[in-house]
Order: sequence, then C-alpha cells, then structure tokens
Amino acid sequence: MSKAVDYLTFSLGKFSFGIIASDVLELNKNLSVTHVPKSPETIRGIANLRGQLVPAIDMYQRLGLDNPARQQEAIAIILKIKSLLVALLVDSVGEIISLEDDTFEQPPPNFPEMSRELVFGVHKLPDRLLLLLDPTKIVQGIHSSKKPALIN
Amino acid sequence: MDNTDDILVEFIIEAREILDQLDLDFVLLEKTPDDKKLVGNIFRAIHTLKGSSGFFAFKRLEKITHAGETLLGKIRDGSLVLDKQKTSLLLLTLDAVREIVAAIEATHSEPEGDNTQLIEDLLHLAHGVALAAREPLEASAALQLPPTQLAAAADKSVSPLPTAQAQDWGVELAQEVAQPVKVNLDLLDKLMNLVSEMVLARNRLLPFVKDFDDHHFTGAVRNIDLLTQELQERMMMTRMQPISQIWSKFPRLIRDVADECGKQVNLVQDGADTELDRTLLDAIRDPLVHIIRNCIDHGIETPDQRAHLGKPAVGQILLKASHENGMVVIQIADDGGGVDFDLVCQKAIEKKLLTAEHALSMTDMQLLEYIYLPGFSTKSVVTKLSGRGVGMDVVKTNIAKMGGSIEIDSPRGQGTHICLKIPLTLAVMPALFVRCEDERFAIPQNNIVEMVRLDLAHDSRGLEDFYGLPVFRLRDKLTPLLLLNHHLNLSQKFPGKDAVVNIALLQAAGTQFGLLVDEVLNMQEVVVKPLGPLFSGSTDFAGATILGNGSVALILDVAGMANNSGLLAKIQARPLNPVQVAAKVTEDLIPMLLFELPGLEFTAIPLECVDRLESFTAEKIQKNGKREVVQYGSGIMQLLRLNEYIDGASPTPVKSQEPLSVIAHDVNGLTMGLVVGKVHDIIQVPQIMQNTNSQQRGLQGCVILNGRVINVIDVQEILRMRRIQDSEILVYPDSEKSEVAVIDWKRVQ
Repeated sequence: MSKAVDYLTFSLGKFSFGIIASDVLELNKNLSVTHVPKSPETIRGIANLRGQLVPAIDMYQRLGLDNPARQQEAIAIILKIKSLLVALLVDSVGEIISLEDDTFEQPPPNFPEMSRELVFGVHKLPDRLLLLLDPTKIVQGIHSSKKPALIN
Repeated sequence: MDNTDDILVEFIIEAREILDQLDLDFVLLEKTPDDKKLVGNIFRAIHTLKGSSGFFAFKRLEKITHAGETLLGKIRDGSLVLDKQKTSLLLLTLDAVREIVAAIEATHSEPEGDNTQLIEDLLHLAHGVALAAREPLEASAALQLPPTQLAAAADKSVSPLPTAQAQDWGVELAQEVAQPVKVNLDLLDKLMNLVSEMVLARNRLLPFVKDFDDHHFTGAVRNIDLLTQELQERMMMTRMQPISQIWSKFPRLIRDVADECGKQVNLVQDGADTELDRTLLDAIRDPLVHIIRNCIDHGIETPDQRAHLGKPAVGQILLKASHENGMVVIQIADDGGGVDFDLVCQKAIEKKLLTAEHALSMTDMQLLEYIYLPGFSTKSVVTKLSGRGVGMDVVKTNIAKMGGSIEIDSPRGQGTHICLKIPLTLAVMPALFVRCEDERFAIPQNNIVEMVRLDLAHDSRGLEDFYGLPVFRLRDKLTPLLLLNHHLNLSQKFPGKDAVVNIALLQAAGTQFGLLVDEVLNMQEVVVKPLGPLFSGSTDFAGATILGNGSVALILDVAGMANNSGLLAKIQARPLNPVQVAAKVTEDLIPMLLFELPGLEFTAIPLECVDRLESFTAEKIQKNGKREVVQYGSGIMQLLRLNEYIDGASPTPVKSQEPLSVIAHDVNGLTMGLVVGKVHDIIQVPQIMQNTNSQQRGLQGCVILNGRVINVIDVQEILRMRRIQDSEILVYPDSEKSEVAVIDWKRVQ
C-alpha cells in the first residue's frame, strides 16, 4: 500500500533536492535581500515579501555545500513553516513530481550527522538521487548550526 | 486551535466584555437605584454568563452566577431594594466571576475553588435574611455614607461615558443598530500590510499613465489611485481606538480605591472619544491606573480634612484627553493636597539623597524629580495601594519607552496636575537614516541627541584612545565613540588623520555616546517591523522597515549596541570624565546658552528654556496686530525682541539685513521666539548666582566665568512683562521666585 506525495524539486550545484510541495507558498525570482550584519552565516539576510519581512536562507551554507562559483542563486522558494515564512535561496527549481513510497529509502548511514538531520530520506529516481528535506529542521538548526559537510 | 477552543475564546471575550459593562452599570446603579432598565440590563448580562458557563460545564461559575441572578431577580421585580450592602456583595460576585474567567483563559479549564460563602450570602440576601456578623463585607461597608450624601454624589454624577449613555436607548435600538464585528488582530495587521503593499504597487503603476494616451487606461489608473488612497486612510482608522476603552474601567477602580482609603471621589472625564493606536492604548493603561491611585491615595484628603480646608467633601479627579501637534495629551488633575514637598524633602534626606543644607536651596520643581526615583516613597507604611516605592519611576520609564513624556505640576495645597504626552501611534516613528559602507540604517529619533561633524585635521586632538575605547572631545568633554562599520563587521576602516567624520551623538541605557557613520542621509517616518525569530540572537537591531522603493532598511537598537560593544561596561569600569561626575554630585553646574544682545555682550539663558534654535530672514517677519510673528511649521511663532525687555540692552533692533537668530521656547503649546544677537556656545555655570543688590529688569542675576560677567536672563519675568504688555492669555506656571536661580537641570541623568 503506497501513497503518492508531491515534491517540488530544486537543485544546488550538482545535487537535487525535494521538498513537500504543499509547504511551498510561492516561488520568487529577483527577491532583493538586505544583509543583516552579525547574523548567522546561514542567513543571507532579510527580504520584503509584499510588506512582510522574510528571512532568506543561504541553502549552500545551510547544507554545508561548496558554492565554488559564489554565484547568486537565481530563485527563492517561499516556504511556510508553521506560521513562519522563510525564503530558501536555490539555483533552480525543477518540476513537481509525485512519488510513491516504493522508491523511498532512509538516508544512507554514511551521511554526516548534521545533514542527516535535514534529509529525512531519499528517492532513487532513474537518473538521479533526490534528497528529501524536512523544512522544520531547516529552520530549527539555524542558531546552533556549525558548518555541516554533506558529501565530498 | 480546534473548534472547542475557538468557541471557548469567544466565550472569554464575551465574558470580559460583559464584566466590564457590569462594572460600569453597578456603579451607575448605586447612584440611581431606581433605574429598572439598568437592573434589567444587569440581570440579562448575568443570565447570559450563566447560560454560557452551563454550556461549557463550568459548574462553579454557573453556581455563582445563578446565586447572583436570584438576588438580582428579586431586585428587578421590586421585592427587594438595592442598598450599599447588596451592591458590594454583587461587586464581590463580579470579582469572583472575573477571577474564574481569568483562570479559564489561562488554563482553558475551570479552576478549583470554593465560593459557598459568597453563594450563601447572595441567597440569604435574596431571601431577605440578614447576614451574620462574620460576613465579609465589613471592610467595604466601612464607608457608610448617609443616604443624603449618596444622593448628592449621584446628582453631580460622573459625566457618563459614551457606553453608559448609549445603553439607555441601546435597548430600544438594538434591532436597528448594526452590531460591531469582532475581528482578529492578526487579520487586521495582515490587512494593514497588504494595504501598504497596495500603495507601493499603485506607485509603480502611476508613471505608466504618462506614456499612454489611452484615456480608458488612464481613467482606470486614476480610479485605482483614489480607491487605494481611501483604502489606506480607512485602514489606518481601524488601528485607532477611543481612549474610552480603557477609561471605562476607571469609575469602578476609583470607587474601590476611594472606598478603601475612606475618601470620596468624583471622576470627570473629558475627551473620552480621543483616538490613539491600540498598542499604545494597552501601554498607557497601567501608568494611568497608577497615577489615578496616587491621586486618591496621596492627593485627595479625607472628607474631614477637606471640610476643614473649606473644600467640598467629595474630591474631584479630572481626566482629559486631546490631540495636540500629532501627540495625544492626557491630563490627570485632582483637587487634593498636591505633592507634600516637605515630606519628599524629609524622605530624600533620610535616604541620603540630599544633604540638609542642600535641601534648603531646593525648589519644589527640583524636589519633584525625587518622586521619579526607584524605591522612593513618602508613605512610611506599605499598604495594598502604595508605599513600596515602585511607582512613578515605572510610570516614567513606561511613558518614555513609547516615546512620550510626563510633566507634573503641583502648586502647594492646590492639587496635582499631571500631563502625559504620547505619540499617536507606535507603528510609525521618526528615524534618521545613515549610511555605513554600502548599507543604510535607521536610528530612532528619540535616541538622537545631536549630530556632530568633526574635522580631524583642524581638531588638534581628533580621535583618542581611552584604555581601548575610542573617544572624542565634545565641548571639552570626553565622549565614547562607537564605529558603526567596526561594530557591525562591515569593514575595518578607521578614519584618517585629516578626515571629516560624521558622528551621531546618541543616548540610551543612561549614557551618551557617539556613533561614527559614513554619511548622514535623511529623516523619515518609518514603520517598524520585527525581524522575526530567526534573528532573535541579534540585539543590535530593533527591527526593520520597508522603504518607499520596497527595499528593507534595518533599524539600530541603540541601547543594544551600547551593551554588545562592551562600551557600556568599559565606561562603567573607568568613568570618562571623573571631574564632571564629581561636579554632578555637588550639583553646582548648570548648562546655559551664551549669546549676545545689542549693548550686552555676554548674556545667557538656561539651556532648559531653549527648545530649538532657529534663524529667520527679516522678510519672513509678519505682523499680527502689534506683534511680530513668523510662520513656523504649521503654526505661527510670536517673536519677542529680548533687548526690549532687559535692563542694559540697547532697545534699537538687531540689524535687519542679517538673518535673525531666534531661540524657540515652548510655553504650554505656544512657541515664543526670543530674538537675540549672535549665539555663541553652551557654557557650564555655577548654580549659585551673584545677585546684584538692585533687581535688574529681565535678569535673574549674573555669574562670573573666566573673569567675565555673564547676565542670566529671567525667562519667566520676561514672559510676564510681555503678557502684561499685550494682556493676552499666556498661561505660564508661576513658581515662587527665590533668591537662587530656579533651574532644574535634569539632575537625574
């Protein structure tokens, strides 16, 4: 017995991630972010989303990925986590795919501890591995976040 | 929140409304015990409460309300007459109900407790059985007013509140008048946000009108423009609420406190429909309650004392609210004994805040400052109402926190007059924008003392280092400096030896310090928005604001920065200006503004009397009758040529080609412009003045500083002369003239 779940896919460098689509409020290009000095490195700054202040999270930093080109991410995924709005800055957003439980797997045990908190599972797709992110964990760990190293 | 919770929240809101209304009704009912309609209203309200508590199975609440209803029923059908005992018992019932409702609100379930005594008493009274001697009403029944006095009090009754007034015909009109709708505050805030965004979106749309000739399009845009504007105005109105919302609780409060003190007090309200932002409304409630308690407990005398003084037995408290220059002014006045200055003085000496010989030279105005000190109380015994010394200091800090001010005026024996000035809304505040590196920051205006531009090349000392703390000299006083770029880790640049730097002198957390910024931009009203939980660790920012172009600017938290940077700790460890501190202890220096008058080269005015310095060209001066006036802001400022009022100054006017230097002095909402010659500097002068033998017109006396005689003008006397001269109404608090200069320079700082 399996139940299909919709995931919004996005990419950071060579990695593909999925996030449960119903948590996503909207996608926003050209979100202008104001830097907040002395805030955690994982927070790029704060942005104005139609009159509401929304923290913008640097997903490269949050996942401990190298962003060698140091390029500006192209798009922001606006998530509603409980009552909090956050913007995840990512390189690009792919399609929404519906996945069933039979491709679901626990994250491999050789994942570093920090990332294992964020990635609650993986889906093996024919062409790639989709890492599933838990939105609440993205926000929860921000104060204490040391630099996690995902995969090298 | 699930469904039952929703309903429960509605019940709590409703219960609170009913309780507030009942408080009012009962006090009114005591004065007009025959008002059947009022009894009916009260009965129905209690009944509603009973019904709702039955629905939620709040057994305790149900029992109490049921007993209350029984008693009220008898009063309603005329078989019993409401007297003082019954009122007090019913009010006790109300308090019990309020307690339970508060507990339900906190825990969502009915608290444990026992009210059998109360219920028994209610039922006894309802069945006409006299209460046993142990009944709990002794205390509140202590104030047994003869019925005639009660009636007299009722005649001069409280100017009824709108709500109380409305209820008379509210019953008849109930079918026609639309009931106000309860709206969740979060929803209102969201709407507010959306409307601001709408305004921005409209602003982006407007420029397109120019590029298109299509009049259908331009027409549609105009329409949107107008609608948006109206929408915004209406939306702002939803935030504003009448002050009567909190005042409606005061008649009951005053009755209770007065009862407890064995005093009789009548409340007069004026301007209950004055509106202010609802967040501020919440914030001023406690300070107001405190002040009113003080008025009754400290101010108003017992009926015996009042009779002895030839005052009417019933004391008066006046509450007045009005709008003035974008501020809300709330005045609280009583006709009691005023502040007991001798007692304040005595207590200050007891607490070693003041030496006995200093006390002799203290004016009433100076003594008033002591009542703002934490832990200061004139009551020797701690009572339920007062004596703990927590009070006026909290009031003052609370008012200051919302950007307001408090003034107390208390002529001996003539009651106290307290004036609170608070901004209309907290959401919008004026802020100064500064640039540091590539980023823009806003500094709240109430933290800003002055702006300083320092030319390091010409200032021989420039920036110095004081045990690891950068400092600069401001009028020969070492002032700590915080480099914004260093503090926020924006860059490691340090101003060069010959740079010209911009420094904002800020005050917060009881200290003053300079903030070095790259550029001072503009002043603007900003809407403060919280940064949200993810930034809870950063105490450098008080929030952020969204600018007209949609970008975000951070608002600096001045007190937080002083703390974080270690600046505060460093100053506390090593006082910067030890000499100055010593001078403050002996309190013999006061700041004055030094200026020239034709014929009198060195003249000074206490800095306290200087509200602003302005400069006008001669052509700006216009005539209003025989007075000279200039347009000033949205109003006018009367000009007063100082040299005409002071002995020794030559009466010929200052040369009219040059721009006039004017000292703006605010007197009870009016601005007087004192026209002077050249303005020199701020000087510190000894408080004890040399009084010349013969009194000179317009002068308080003179001081000697660096071998020069400096004439200190007497602003009050000059204003008095002016008033006599054109016999206009310019209310100025006359304080006693004393031999020593009466200047209260904010000694607390």
